[in-house]
Amino acid sequence: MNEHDYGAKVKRRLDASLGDLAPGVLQRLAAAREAALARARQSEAAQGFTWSAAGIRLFGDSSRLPMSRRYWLPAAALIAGLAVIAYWHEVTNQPESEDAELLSGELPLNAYLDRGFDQWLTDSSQR
Amino acid sequence: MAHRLVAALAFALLLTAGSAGAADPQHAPPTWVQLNAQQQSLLAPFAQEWDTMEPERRARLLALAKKYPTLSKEKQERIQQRLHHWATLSPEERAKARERWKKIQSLPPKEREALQQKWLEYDQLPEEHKDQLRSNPPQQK
Repeated sequence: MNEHDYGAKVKRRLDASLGDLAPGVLQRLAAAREAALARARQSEAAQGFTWSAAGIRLFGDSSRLPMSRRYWLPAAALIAGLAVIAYWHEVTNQPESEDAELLSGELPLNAYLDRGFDQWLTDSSQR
Repeated sequence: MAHRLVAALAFALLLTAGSAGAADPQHAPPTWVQLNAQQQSLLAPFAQEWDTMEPERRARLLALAKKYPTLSKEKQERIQQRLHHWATLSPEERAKARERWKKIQSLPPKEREALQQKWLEYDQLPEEHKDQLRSNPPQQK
């Protein structure tokens, strides 16, 4: 017996026993079916368009969008990500390099780093 | 609903980041072998660490290499001499040098010249005297 035959047999048995069910049970089953269909219709209406390539539903009904932290967090992450990209472009596109100016200047690197020079400048300014 | 939006925004961020890199490959930090001969020659002191260097530091050095050909011969020589020293500095020392350089740049030209003169005088001091001064650094203001 294949799956289809088995399914048909089960259906026949269920249909045959349908008449045996109490009216109250039939009523509850009908109400549950209606409620399930109503939920399905509501869900379809709320889902808006589907981003099929990504398989991600991007937006629902815009009037239903709650402004909770769960939405602000990814939005903040997105903005932060864009800021990082913008910063990287800024750094790499910088036409003038301050390091080039620093390294090619009159003063050697030690003039900026030698603590003794700082002390000597302080001493000589007090003389 | 909410988790879908989270996923969608995260995906959008990945796409944005990915497309920025793909559309603009020259702005992704290049590896050492991707540098041209001129860049490799100038940045030779950084050859060993280049591929593991922070992108920001590589970007600064690339900006330096870009600027280099436009400078006078004298300035080019200074850069070549000082890059070896620059490569040995810690991030804190480089930050300190940049900070002090910026301060000095903001001085009037006469004061800057005076400072250069002071450095020449200091540089002439006996090494023992300099060591003494170094062991007694001024208080940070």
